[in-house]
Amino acid sequence: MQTNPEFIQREVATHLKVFWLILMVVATNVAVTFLPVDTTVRNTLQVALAVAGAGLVLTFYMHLLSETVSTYLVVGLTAFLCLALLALTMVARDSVPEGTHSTVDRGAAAPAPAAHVP
Amino acid sequence: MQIPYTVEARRDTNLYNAKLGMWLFLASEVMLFGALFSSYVLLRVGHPEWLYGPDKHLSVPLGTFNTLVLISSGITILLAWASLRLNDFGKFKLWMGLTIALGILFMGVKATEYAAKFDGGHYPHTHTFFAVYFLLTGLHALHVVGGLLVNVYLWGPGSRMWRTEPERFTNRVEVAGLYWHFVDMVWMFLFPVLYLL
Repeated sequence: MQTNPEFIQREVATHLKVFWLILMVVATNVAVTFLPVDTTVRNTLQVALAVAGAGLVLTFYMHLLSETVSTYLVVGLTAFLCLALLALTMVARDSVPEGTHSTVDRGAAAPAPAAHVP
Repeated sequence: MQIPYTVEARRDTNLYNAKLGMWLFLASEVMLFGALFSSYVLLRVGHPEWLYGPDKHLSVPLGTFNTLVLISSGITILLAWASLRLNDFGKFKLWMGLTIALGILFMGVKATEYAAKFDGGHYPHTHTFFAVYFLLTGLHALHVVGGLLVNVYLWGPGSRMWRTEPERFTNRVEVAGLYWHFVDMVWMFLFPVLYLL
């Protein structure tokens, strides 16, 4: 860990700049809500801004920029597994198990509920 | 017996043990919240009548204010850690105290929001959206409470360590800061996903 006072002061100055940047990202995200654009565009933009804000926290506040290989391994593997989990959810969202049905189809061709057998 | 690697880094990981332990713990936390976010996506996409805008009965100004509060607490805990590195224990007390105050303020605003929901008859069983809202924000609030307890300990009785083992105490504050930033980061996703989208 660096203990040089000048280095620490410089680091603090950077953190303060990042703080204002994060505030701007949040303000922009709220402002985007009122943009008269397509919902898909707006949602994508807002998720992207959330990722940007979280990325700033991770890289600067959590010092990922100056971390070691072991930290990168932990973070990299976690990010991969988390994204894989989200991707699997999206891929399998229509594969409902036998005996259940998706609520999306409820109006159209919903099967009759199974009779309860005591 | 002396606990090894509380101050100096291990040769194989280049990290002191508490820091590696915290990163591993945060990895498990990412998977926990990741699974819940996946469930949210699945429920939202599959729901025939998802709630949007004013139907959600969420206050965007209050949510924005709480986001600002949590982001501010992120910078104050960083300043607390920097103060220790600069050997300024008095400033550490000030910044850590402010971090705790901001954490309590966040919880206060959250409690107000919850009270407004209950007064309006919105409970987890009312709608899938509210089930998701209460689960995600409730779990996040529990994490904030956990972080607050640790911060209060480090600010109060735990700070005695500064007199005997200053480096180890500084590392403890750094690790507590990592956790607090993670809680901050989760909220940066929760706020747009629940309040804005």
